[in-house]
Amino acid sequence: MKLMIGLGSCGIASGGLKIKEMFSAMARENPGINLVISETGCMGMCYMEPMVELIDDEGQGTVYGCVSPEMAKEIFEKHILGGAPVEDWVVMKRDGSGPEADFITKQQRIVLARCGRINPESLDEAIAMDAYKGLEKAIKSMTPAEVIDQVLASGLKGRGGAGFPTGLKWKFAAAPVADQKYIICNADEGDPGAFMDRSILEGDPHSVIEGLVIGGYAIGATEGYIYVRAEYPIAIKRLEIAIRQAEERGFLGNNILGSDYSFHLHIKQGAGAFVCGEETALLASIEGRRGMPRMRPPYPANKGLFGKPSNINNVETLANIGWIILNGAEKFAAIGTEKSKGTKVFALAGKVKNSGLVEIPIGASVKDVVFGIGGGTSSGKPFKAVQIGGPSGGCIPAGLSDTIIDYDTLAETGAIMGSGGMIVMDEDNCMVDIARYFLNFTQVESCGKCTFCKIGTKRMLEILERITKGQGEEDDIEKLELLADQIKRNSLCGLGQTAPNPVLTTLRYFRHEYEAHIKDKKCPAHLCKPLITYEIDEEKCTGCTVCARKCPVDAISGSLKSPHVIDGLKCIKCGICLSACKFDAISVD
Amino acid sequence: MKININGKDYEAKAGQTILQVCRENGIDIPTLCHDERLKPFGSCMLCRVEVEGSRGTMLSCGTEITDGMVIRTDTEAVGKSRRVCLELLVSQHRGDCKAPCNLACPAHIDVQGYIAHIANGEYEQALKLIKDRNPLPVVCGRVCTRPCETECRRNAVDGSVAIDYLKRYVADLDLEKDIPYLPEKAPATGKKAAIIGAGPAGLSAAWYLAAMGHEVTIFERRKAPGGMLRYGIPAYRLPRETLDREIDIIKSLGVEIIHGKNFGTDITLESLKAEGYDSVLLAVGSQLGQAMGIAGEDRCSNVLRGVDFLGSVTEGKAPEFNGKSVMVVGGGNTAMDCSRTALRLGAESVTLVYRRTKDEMPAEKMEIEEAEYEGVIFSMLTNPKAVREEEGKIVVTLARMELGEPDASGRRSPMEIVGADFDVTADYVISAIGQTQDLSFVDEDCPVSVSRSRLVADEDTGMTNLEGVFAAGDAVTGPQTAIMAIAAGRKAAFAMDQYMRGEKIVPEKKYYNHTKAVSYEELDPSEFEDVEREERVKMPMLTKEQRHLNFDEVELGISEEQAVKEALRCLECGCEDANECKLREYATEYGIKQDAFKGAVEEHPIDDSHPYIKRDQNKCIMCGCCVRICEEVQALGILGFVDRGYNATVQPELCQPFGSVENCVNCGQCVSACPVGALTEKSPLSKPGPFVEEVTDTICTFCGAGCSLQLRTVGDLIVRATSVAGEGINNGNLCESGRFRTGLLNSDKRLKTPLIRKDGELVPCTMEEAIKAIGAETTDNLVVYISGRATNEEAKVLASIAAKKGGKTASFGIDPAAESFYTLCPDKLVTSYEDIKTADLFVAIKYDIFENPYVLATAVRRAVRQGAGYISADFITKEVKEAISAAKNPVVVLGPAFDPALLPELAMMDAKVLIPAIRCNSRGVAKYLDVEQDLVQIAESLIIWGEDPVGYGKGREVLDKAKFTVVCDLFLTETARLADVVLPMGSFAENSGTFTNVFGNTQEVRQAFEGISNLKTLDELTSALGSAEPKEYSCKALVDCPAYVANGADVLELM
Repeated sequence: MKLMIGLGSCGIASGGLKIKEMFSAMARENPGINLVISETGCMGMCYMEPMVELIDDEGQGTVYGCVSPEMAKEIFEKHILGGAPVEDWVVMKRDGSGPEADFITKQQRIVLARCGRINPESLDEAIAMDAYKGLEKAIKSMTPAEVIDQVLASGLKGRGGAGFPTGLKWKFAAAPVADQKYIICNADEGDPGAFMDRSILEGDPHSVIEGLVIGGYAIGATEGYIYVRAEYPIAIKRLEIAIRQAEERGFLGNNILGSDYSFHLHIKQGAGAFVCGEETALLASIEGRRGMPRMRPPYPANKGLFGKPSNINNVETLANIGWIILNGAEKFAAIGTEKSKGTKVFALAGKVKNSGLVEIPIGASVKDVVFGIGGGTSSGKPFKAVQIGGPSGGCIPAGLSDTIIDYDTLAETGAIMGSGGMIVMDEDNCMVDIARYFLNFTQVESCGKCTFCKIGTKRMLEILERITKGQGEEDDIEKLELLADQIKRNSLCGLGQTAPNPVLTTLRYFRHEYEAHIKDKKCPAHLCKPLITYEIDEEKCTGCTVCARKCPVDAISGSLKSPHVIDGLKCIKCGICLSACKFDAISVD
Repeated sequence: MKININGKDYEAKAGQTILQVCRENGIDIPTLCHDERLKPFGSCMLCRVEVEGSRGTMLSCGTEITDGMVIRTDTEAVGKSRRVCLELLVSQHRGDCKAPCNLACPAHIDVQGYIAHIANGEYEQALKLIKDRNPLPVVCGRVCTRPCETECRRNAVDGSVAIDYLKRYVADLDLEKDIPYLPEKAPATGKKAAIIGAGPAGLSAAWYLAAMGHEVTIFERRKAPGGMLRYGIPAYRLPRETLDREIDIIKSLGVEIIHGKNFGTDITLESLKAEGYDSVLLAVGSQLGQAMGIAGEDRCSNVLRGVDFLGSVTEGKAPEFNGKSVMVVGGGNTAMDCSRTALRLGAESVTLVYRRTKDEMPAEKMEIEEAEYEGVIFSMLTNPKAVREEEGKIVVTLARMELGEPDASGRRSPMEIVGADFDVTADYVISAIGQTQDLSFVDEDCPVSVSRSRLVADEDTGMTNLEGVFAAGDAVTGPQTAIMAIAAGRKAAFAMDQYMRGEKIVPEKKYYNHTKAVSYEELDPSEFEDVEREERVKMPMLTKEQRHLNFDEVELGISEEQAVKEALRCLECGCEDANECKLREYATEYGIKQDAFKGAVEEHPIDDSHPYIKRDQNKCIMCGCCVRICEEVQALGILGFVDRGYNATVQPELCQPFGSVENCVNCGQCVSACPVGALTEKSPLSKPGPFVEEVTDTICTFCGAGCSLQLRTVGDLIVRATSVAGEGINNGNLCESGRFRTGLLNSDKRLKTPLIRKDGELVPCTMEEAIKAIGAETTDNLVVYISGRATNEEAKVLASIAAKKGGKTASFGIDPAAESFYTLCPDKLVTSYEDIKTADLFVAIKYDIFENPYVLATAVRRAVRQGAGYISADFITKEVKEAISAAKNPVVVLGPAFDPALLPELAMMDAKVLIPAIRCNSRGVAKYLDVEQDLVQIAESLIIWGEDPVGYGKGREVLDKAKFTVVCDLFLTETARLADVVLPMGSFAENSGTFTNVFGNTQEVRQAFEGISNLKTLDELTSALGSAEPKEYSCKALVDCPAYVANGADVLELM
């Protein structure tokens, strides 16, 4: 039997290491049992961490979720020693049964195929699940041009956000003749709420390395870089191990798989500047300069890293490559919609019941993801909107939840596919505040170079801040729209050009919320503290004193069995009274 | 390639950017971050243009053209983006373009500028600056209401700068001159302008119109000119003879004043037209005193009106006040004038009746104080209700008042206390409560528009509804201040000029003026906490006793010492870069509003640590030009970007103070690249201005490189040196000396008069005395030492002096070996910076190029950084030889201490040689030296021209052995101290001539201002030393100047 413990960042954060230690200790106490304890990356169901999967000798996997130390003991005793699954705690079985199986069965996993199924530090396990087979095929039986043709034919688009056809990008980089070319993996994932790239690197680093080597072969690059943020230590560690393993087996280094082709790969750790995800800034950062975007042209395909032709692809894009080459472009192109092919990984987060890593065929609807896989809102309150594409993206309202997830359809809504952050919001989310949050992120992360991004986003942010404080002015919406339009048109790089999107989409679908803040000085979601008041209904108040006792600032007064009153001046609008009142006597407006 | 811009086809070269092509063809595209010296950057985002077929707009600075490209730079969308961009930039800008005093002045006089001139001792410049906006500074220096001082930021420290006293100081100084300042008059236009009224508006208009070349006649109904200045302001404030003299200056510019002419009766629009006047200005003022409108007023003969009373005093028809009691009604300046005048006429008592309290009085505080000091009794919160005559006296019924709620003007309105009336007796009552306009000339024949008893005229041009008829001053505004009338007169003059020339009338350009705070009250006083306290100057004044019964001027004027000290109190609020700032220029062009996107503005302390550069981040627009020029051109990289988002800034390395960065070579390239006032030169003057500078294109004379330089001067002061980006042999690059040290020539330690040795001491003498002594004492055993600082022309004259005497020429500082080498091996010469750019190896012999601050070092450093090799050696070793033969374009740089024996060896090698010249004209002067002689000559008589050899080599010995020594130099050097006669030398800013630089180019150095002429001194020397006839210097001397002939290819502009 084999016990796999989920030790992606999510698993580790939820206490997975302790669970692993317990199982190991119990195994030591039972010498001679048929048990291999191994680890794996993120299994996808982050909401169920820590997770373990017990694979019996027939290969049948039983997945347990939210494993506590007590549960671990019982699973060991009953299932491992006793051979009988603890059915109450089973999340799913690999045959597709189990209460949470929908989360996985409704997905289509190409990029994540090995994530959560193999030990990311074991090359053999990866190879057993087809790793490097695409590379072998490319090197041994295809010319670089044929590789590019395959990628072109697959319809794969860059998964980093902009959605530029990967094959075309490779073609551009392959064209120039140069003594040196580079291929670079952009692993500077920084969108709030996005963790796709990290999970792939932690769960299946070989998939990315394979993509890089195939890409290098295709464009003629002999050097490669993985630009990964230093905040991803586990990913870096597993990448380092994977690179070493790949070099040992001849998948990397000189004369790959016995061919004439040599390729060397380096890891460059980023220092956490979001803008370094922009490719020209990323190049500057690798070169040791300040990560600041520059004008294009020249495009990196002509003058990139150290002035040489370079190609930059996102983690997820590269993780698709091996599969495409191995299985053929047609098979990949069969998935998805007419214009957008393949699958897309989303980091489903926010107020959703089942948060985690989701890979769906392009063309599924927002509803499919939020309800079908995500299980609806975690609060049980009405679903309000989903933010797709991170700070560069936009909010799609509940009313448009039938929207198909593909590049073009999402763009029509004002959102973008982005890199795959998907944040679910319920009715308690104030949309002005959401816009303010995302804009604050882009403002702080702006490199400060160009006027529109540096100053324009700051001015927009200040307007949003004053609106949420109840100090909105008559022409603020007009000003926001003017600035948003100008910033989109005139900023130097993608960061600035997309920064206004969260504001624009919330203005498009939730304009009334802005107006309520500005004109009526009310926050419909009851979130913006300066705009809300708490009141006690005299009729309903029984004078139980609970609220007064719980109030942290003694803003509630009243004697036993008589109606209480809230002092609006003292009240800090924490909402404790509201949740403490058993008689529904406290209201917020 | 063919491209189309804004619908027109243009030819362009491949590789050019859109911006370059547009600029070449005069199509204006704004940009703040682009500099032709630098790679395109793309931070300001102003230069975006529309390109057909492209997604969105393109940055014209970084986009290369393609054949057939269709570009639009002028669409509404492009304009809108530019405006928003500029509005965003100004929204985070913190500073003042112009000082608040300047903005507050109705005439917008450059107050900060003239105060700076005064601080620098340039009084004439100060006066010129004032007269550019106000031709009546003598008057205004006495009577102005000084809105400038109200807004003065120094109020937040210890009281405003005494701006008005300073103006008076320079104006009075000019008035006392035999020939006061007159502006240069434009050629006569043949047009005639008639001005009705010789008050401040009319006089002001007349001055500017006359200066613009028009024939100007003022028609005045009174016997003397000045209007209210004469008939409304008492003589103790503005003495009549002083006023007359200032008006005389205006007349001397060609303004005729015809007195005794009433407009509407004696002359009419019709008659003026008939007399050939092309335009008319109505500047009739506001002459009628207003009645109080109370019972009995008209029946009492001794109830006078303020302006009438003051006018009668001027005319010598003052009523008999001796021993009488006088009541003056009102709280304005006229009331104070009437009160103080009444006292001077001998009134026994003067009581000022005002319905509010002293705090609400519109009169100037100082006037109120003086009135009180002189003995005027203030009866506050009283208001006349009726007057009647009783027994030859006037009984005034006064109501008692109290202050109620503030009214629309913000002042608390007076309310009558019912039943508290009381009677007061006086001999005279003067009502000084206001004036109105006599517009009786307006009729069918002169149908000029009138509203509320005022002429209707455009505020910016004075245009009325009648063609060719303009109006200005109180007649338009109602009774206002002199300075407002002066400003209005000036505006009208410019409009009349345009009208008479048949041009479209456009008002003066209104510049964008950024402000830190709109008014003084909005300022954060903590900003001024560190300003050292310095009391405001006190105006010396007559004592109360001295003022008794006379109209002598009360204010006596401040001294020069006081004026300079007061001028130094100025806080220099206005930006040093206001005249050159590109942000201001574009903001003006695009009509930007400062607060379109109001938001948080970071306040940064000003970094003053650098010896030459002031760094004011509050004005930084993050264009990165400074960062990039330091990196890309100077190959240093001292400045960089720090932080992200809105907090991103430019900082010196490791965020240390700018002055602490060790690697900075003080070249000032960052200043030259800064499009705004974030990096500015520190001024060598007491006050930095900013001034309107004279710009002289000349060359730097610090070393032999001969860098092109723009010398910026004001009067005879050097303000700063700049360069034109990309131009000259230096491509606009300057070193520390060239950019920042020319100001040293302003030093007051400069020699100004000749000195002669008497009884062993050097004492000042006249030029005649000095020349006489030189003629008498100089023997034929003469050596003339010529410095490498002498021009070719000076060297030629010096050589001829030596030749005449049968003496020799020599130089302590010029090595003849170098020049011989140049002559022998011209092909080995490094002839320009191009040779350095293309070099792939540098061999420095006994010379540390990188320790050398000059532009040469920058060129080498950049080449080395781009891959050229660099070897430093003391000799030409075997390794050096090998390296040279392996290199494609090797350059050998010799230090000043090189061994001349190397030269033959170098002549054999395949390398270019650069011998950096220490002096600006070492190579030119070398041609005049008797180089076959020993370098250093011992002789009986010496003339040492600009050298200071004491302490070096045989210098002292030569001097000691000579019997008679003449030294000519800028300063009293060690050598000069030993001389028998010392002659002052003029600097390169004061002289013209040519210099031959290290690359062999002969270039012109041009005089920036008149000072000591070296050629004149040489003429004197020539005649003293026996030349047949002294000849006036003429540039013809250049024609046979060998340095010039040798470089005949260099086209020189001969003067």
